[in-house]
Amino acid sequence: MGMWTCFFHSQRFAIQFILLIFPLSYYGIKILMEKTKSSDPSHAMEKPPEGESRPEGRPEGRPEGECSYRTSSGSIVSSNEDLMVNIFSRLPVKAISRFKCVCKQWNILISDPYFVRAHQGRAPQDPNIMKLVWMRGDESMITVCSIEEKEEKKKVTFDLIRPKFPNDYKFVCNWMIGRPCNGLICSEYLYYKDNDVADPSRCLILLCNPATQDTLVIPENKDRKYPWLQGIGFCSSSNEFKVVCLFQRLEDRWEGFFECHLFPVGQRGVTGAHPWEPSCRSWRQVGNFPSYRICNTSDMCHVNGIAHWIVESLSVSSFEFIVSLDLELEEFKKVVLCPEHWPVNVRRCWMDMNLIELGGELCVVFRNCDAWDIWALKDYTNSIWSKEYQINGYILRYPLFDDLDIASIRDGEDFKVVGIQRRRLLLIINDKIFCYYDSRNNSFEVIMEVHLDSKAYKLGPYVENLVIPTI
Amino acid sequence: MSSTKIFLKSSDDKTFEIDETAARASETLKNIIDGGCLDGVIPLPNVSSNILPKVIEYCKKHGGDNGSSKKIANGGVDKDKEILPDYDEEEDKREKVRVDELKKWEEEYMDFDQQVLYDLMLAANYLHIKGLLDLTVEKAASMIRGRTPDQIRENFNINSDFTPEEEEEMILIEDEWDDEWAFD
Repeated sequence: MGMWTCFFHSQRFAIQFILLIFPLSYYGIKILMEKTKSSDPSHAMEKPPEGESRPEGRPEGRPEGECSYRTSSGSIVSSNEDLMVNIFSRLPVKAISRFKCVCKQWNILISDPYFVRAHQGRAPQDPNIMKLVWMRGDESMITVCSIEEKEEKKKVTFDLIRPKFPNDYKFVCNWMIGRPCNGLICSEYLYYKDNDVADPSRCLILLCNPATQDTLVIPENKDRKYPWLQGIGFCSSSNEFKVVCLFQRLEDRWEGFFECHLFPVGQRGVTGAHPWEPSCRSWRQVGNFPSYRICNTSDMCHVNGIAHWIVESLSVSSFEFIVSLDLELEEFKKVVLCPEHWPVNVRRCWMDMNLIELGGELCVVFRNCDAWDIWALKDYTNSIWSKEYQINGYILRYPLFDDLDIASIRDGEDFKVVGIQRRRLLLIINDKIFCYYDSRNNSFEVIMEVHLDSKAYKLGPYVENLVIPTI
Repeated sequence: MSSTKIFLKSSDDKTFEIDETAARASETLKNIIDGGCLDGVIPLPNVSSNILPKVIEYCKKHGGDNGSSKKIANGGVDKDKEILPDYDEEEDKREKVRVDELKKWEEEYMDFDQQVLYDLMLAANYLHIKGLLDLTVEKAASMIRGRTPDQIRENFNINSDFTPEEEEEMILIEDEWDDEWAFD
């Protein structure tokens, strides 16, 4: 698959030396007593390790049975599984997947759910790498873009992945896909009869781990048609993913009211909190979506096991504009926004609002005169919001963005807040220019220009891992 | 903390001296000291006399300031969590100087061959010196990162123990990743 690399210079970026510290499991006493194993010395003599300059034989004074000089290169990767897990968990998924071919021991270790978790735990800690994922409608391709910052340079790489899915289905460019969650993304495919007639009542929902290229087809919901895929969430207590889908309520199909259904998905080798029962792995209704209309512009926003939507209240005087669904308890709630946070023209403001997860918090982005404010929800029970960032409108007047009509700029259409890294907001402007914006000093730097074909993509920050979804 | 001297005996019966404060960088030594079972000399049957001085050098540099190395480690992540008014440019600069200095020291310290790296990694694991373990493991990871399975087998003397059928299957997996890897 095509992949290209380009370098960009950045004017202001001070690299910090990061020691990745992650706790290894300590077996203090066990390790204290443990003797280092050595591999077969005769074998080692035949094939001396590469690039060694030290003399033959054991170093002086090293007792028999301790790691001898020649054999220890072998034991670096085979004698101590704790160390192996520690080393491997610092490698990118691609490298690890290749190392499965080295020998049986490596294959077993890398496939072990314990290792998958160790790797997952460490992955988000590399602050030099920001990964994004989006989907191109025309080619059914998943693009994984990684922005790596090293010293003064930025290296941007792209991986194109074609998920495997049944031939009768096609990914349609204006169809929904959910934002990435815990290394997985979900997308919806339309069924084509005789290769050219689409059947909108039948859809295929696919979960894919772009890093390992593992895919999982979610079974069709036998009782309901016309699914509207919202995305996936993750319940950390039960180690389960849940696919969230809305279905038209049959009795008033065109009124825009929905039933919400969930499909739980497990991880290979990981037992959830609930005993595994085949009956759990099926679509189930969690009740009607509250009687609000979902804004067409609003995507489901998943934060820490809770899904959120911006809704249009049917009574104009109400200020309950966010509906949340706790994926673990499977309960709907309302999240209140305080009126004073809102721009003057309250009735229209849902048009200019967007939900996004930044640094593990639910944030709302909306226009406030010539700027965009980003508020984070600090306290769920008391609905306390705090203003975290502001994007000055002038940055959008940068010469590069000539073709923007300033008067009508809207978050989500003309620019989009994608994510955050080291307090800098990652924005995409006009569907093509990615830049970092630092609200502390109003500086911004362009990272790359990529033409994304349409609004069909769902762009999101992504952390790769080795999780394999299973039913 | 007083500057009580601790004596460590390597696997080949050589004795080394270390300040108690420095020794506390090692969880294992710290537990022995705190446990009060200090009997003059602490024997370390898994650490040889050519590695122990290297370990002591690290402990001297990092002894007693476990907190600050933690701070560096989480630097990038913590920044995202700070709230706006906490941003202090001066503090940031001082931190940067300190980090740069430490980074330079670590670069010089880590200049050794694969064998020492491995022994040091084992010693750090055995003595529970978290910072040193991370440093060595990170280096080991960077050494194998871009290699093919064949290079790994050759370098580490590993025999592929797959049956011919499994081997074939594995080659397919290997090939799947190959085209993408070529560009890295």
